[in-house]
Amino acid sequence: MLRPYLAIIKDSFRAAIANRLLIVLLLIITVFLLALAPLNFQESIESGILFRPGARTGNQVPRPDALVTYLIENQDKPDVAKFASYLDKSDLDRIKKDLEAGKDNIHEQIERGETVIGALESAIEDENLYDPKIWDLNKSINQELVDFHSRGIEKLSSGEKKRLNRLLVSNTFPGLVLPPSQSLVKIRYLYKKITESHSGMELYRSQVTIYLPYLMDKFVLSIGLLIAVLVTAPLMPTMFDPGSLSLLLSKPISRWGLYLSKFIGGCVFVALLAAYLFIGVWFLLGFRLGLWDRSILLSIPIYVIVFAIYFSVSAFVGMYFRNTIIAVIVTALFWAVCFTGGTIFKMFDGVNQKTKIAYVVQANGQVLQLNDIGAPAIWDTEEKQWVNAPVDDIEKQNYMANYTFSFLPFIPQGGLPTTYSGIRPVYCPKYNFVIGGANLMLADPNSFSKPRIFYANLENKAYQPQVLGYLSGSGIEFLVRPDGDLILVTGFGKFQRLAGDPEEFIGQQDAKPADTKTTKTNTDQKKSSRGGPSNMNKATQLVDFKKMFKPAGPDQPTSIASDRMVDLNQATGEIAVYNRKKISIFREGNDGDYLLDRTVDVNVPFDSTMTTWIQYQGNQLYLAFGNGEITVFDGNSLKMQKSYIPEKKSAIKQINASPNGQFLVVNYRNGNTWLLDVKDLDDIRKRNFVGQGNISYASFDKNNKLWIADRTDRLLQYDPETLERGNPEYNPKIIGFRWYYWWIRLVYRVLPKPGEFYKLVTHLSSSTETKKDSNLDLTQMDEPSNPWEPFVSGVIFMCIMLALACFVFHRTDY
Amino acid sequence: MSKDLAVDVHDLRKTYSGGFFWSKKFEALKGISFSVARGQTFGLLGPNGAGKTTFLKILMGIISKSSGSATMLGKPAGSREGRKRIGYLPEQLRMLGHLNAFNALELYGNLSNIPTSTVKAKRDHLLEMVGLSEWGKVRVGKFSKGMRQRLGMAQALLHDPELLILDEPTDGLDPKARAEMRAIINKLSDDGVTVFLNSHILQEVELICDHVAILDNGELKYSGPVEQLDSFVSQLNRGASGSTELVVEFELAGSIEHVNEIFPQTTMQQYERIAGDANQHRFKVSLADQAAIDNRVDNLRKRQVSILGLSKQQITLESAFLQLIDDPQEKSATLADPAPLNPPASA
Repeated sequence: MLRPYLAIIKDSFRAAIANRLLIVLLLIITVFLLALAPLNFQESIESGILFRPGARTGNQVPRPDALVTYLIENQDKPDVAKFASYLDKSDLDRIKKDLEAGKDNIHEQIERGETVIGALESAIEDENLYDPKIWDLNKSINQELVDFHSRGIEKLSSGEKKRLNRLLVSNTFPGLVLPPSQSLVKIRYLYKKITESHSGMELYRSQVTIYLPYLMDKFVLSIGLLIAVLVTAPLMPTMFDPGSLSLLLSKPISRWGLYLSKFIGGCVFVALLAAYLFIGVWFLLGFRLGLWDRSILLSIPIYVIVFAIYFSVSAFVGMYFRNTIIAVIVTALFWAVCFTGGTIFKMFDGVNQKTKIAYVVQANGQVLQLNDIGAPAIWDTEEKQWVNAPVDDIEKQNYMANYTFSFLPFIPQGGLPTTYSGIRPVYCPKYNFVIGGANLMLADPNSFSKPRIFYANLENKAYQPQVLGYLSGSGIEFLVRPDGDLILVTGFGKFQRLAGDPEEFIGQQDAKPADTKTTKTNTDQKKSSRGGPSNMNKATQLVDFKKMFKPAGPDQPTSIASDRMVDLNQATGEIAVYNRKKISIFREGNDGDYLLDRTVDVNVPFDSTMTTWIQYQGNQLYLAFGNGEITVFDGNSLKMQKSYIPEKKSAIKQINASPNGQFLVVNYRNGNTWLLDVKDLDDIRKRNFVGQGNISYASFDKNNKLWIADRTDRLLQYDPETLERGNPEYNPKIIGFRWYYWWIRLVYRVLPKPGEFYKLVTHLSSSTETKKDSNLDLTQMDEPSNPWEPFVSGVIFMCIMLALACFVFHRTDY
Repeated sequence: MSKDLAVDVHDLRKTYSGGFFWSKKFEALKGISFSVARGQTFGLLGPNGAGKTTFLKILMGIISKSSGSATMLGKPAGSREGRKRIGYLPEQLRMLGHLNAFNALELYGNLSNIPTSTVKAKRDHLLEMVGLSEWGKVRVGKFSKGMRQRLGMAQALLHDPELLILDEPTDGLDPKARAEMRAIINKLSDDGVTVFLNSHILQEVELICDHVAILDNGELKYSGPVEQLDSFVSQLNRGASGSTELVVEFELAGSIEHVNEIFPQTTMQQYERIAGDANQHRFKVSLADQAAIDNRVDNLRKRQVSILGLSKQQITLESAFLQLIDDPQEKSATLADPAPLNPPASA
């Protein structure tokens, strides 16, 4: 029964062999594999110091100036002195002089660091560095050093001695020179080094496993797909040649069977070539580099499907026009449309994600929203649109950099610092102003982790923020008490109370630079910021924050890792803090300072580093964890009442409790939003909010009304009891960018997505065991976009193309 | 529909659509009806554009019919069951160039659901039969047009078809190969295979076929035995009196005045003087029957006109074909015209 169709498939191969195509391609692949064959790796003992100033990963000297200072100031210690002896005296004197002169320019810091690290590297090269009088290896906490000692130092090889020296460096400068990786892996072509990995063999393998599908995807989708389409394009036009088609059609076979057989023939042909290529690469990487990566093998069927998607287009065009050149051109155009459509969508989607409402402040009749990167916008009641709030040039550059990152078609592994961080703005009704802070992500060493504080006085009803300066002291959160007082929470767990109207503090800075006299306007702010990164801190400091905020306890602070882990109860004024599996409640003492009132240990099975949110309102305390677990406590007794995991796959984005404590709203990264009413603790569920599944923000206002932002920038009000929509609502028209976005999204959904198949390969090749771990912190992982989605949509597209082709073939008179 | 019929067609119509939004229509078959009994060797004749290939393609299911009915071997035309039992040799066959003769037979045999082993068992005999026994391993791309036709014939016979449909089978063949092809067809016919031949080479049809159908401009002009074609044409040419007209060629010696007394100049066709002699004449006339011929001969002899020669013209397939496909108005004009009859430009 299948004989006729198998004959067609067989004929596809005869055609390929007859015109020597198969042989030529096999030869090309063989040459390619032979060219890869000289690749090899060399694993050696790691003894160097990686100094990569400014790099996010791999830098073993995070604070070069601290290393230099430590070396200069601790020469009384024999181990430090030993290393210092490798420093030229002239260099030593120069460094001392520079430090005394206070030369703290970042470039000068790096240069001094490089000098000291050079001396340390010289010491590492010295096989006679180790002195048993200086270092007692038996007492070392480093097991490797102990092992070296037990083996006998004199018996160590030259490489092992250097390794010993390198470990002694980290031993002598703990925290300043981080320990080296286990081994150095060099990737070589014959004997020539191509690249090296300081991460050790295991990490190197895992990195390659992550990157390989990505690289293969790009390689296969560019050259491989093009060759495959070119090679298979003549199959259909040849079959549809009028002279030969009549004979084929006269045979007792169905037309759709004939068409599909020819189609499968082309796919099998490509599958064989792909199998030869990928299995060859798999063997090569396995034998030559020790990488037995199954994602390479998984790629074979997946990329044959990718090819089949494009071949379905090529075959249809070839069948309809009976012309190979038209088939190739149309397929190439189709690929270009898919690729461009996907890229444009990614760009638009990136910007769209960034411009979604992430946070809302309702201040004295004005509504201020911050999008995902912290760019503020104000609601214009007349135009019924959000208008960008005025920001200075530094902020503009900051936002522009963020938007630019979102334009990248491919987000590199590990991601980019694209989300807003800083101190969320709050409205202080007592003095009628909005205050908040944003971290800069531009390369400014001085600003790193220090938020620039924005302040906007709303007396004149206009939102005109000005920069007060950099807030030091690791401030992480502003809280507004029920009485209107503003509390600044620091990462050390200290609370600071606003001492008075901020207007009084502006301009009271003691050592105020001359050019900041008139820095109340944005224009002048811009001028002052041109002084260079290292001077920006001082130049823009308008306010002495030590005077503006006064300590307000507690005596026994508990460090707070994030603004998620602190909340102020609007009913009682108490502050709840979560830290290391412990809830601490602080209440206001008689002197106005906060003091610890009660604590409770939270019994959870996972690590204390799990991302946690705390909300304490009314008589309810809520905890939410990175694994998706939500726990309800009684606010007074701190006894646990209920625990849920509403969504298991998506990470929690934010939680918020109504000021009366009755409701908790939970917003997930996937846009789902759940609501809990404590009147019925069993009743936590996704409610029928407009835009459910696409909600970017959900929070209660002081009147216990629920505000939900969806789409991109629509903000709607709900009564949490009845779920009825309320007024006002902020519902801008869909115009401009978003209008195009919706159309492009529609096109993107329909078309195949050539650039996304590596996700499925990665998904299939990654370990499945870790995915079942219920204690995984989902917030630390990429949001699991369905890796099968591009595959499924591609296969659906292919099936539609094949069905259409069969229908046209069936209906056409030849 | 009878199961004894190899082909049975009733009021078959095919209209092609084309142009902007398929607004232009062209009727290729205008309701033709005929049948081919099993065992017949049937020829389908018609000038270019008559609808012959359209008809065959409908039979094979390559194109769809607009209306009417057509069956092959009792199965609807184009059905897979019907195609299983048919061998088909299309017009201007171009086999896939990458195949050699053996591969081609294997492919087309497999497509007819014949196992490769069976194909291998039969292929030598078939190739020998079509004169390609030395060419089994040669790529079809190197074959001449005639060789491709012969290979096409071989593949059509692979599965021992009950009905063989041949579309211009001798097209492109040299005279010797044509004779060989005719011999093959005759042998198949003798073996009881129904042969349906589509050709514009009239002599070939005349030599091979026992039944013919003549298509012109999408209309069926004749369908029946070859030997009845002349009487059909004769009946068709019967004059207003209802009698059959015979075309007779006279060669006479005598004065032209005497001849014209018997044959007025207006009734003479293709008149010429023999060897330039003013008293020797050759011409054709149409006469009602043998009695009329006898009457004219008697009168000529009375006037001392010698009868050098007299011959009654036979109606060949060619002349019948030409008469049938001509437009009736043109035909009547031609018959009334004393100008010489021109032979057909091509067969």
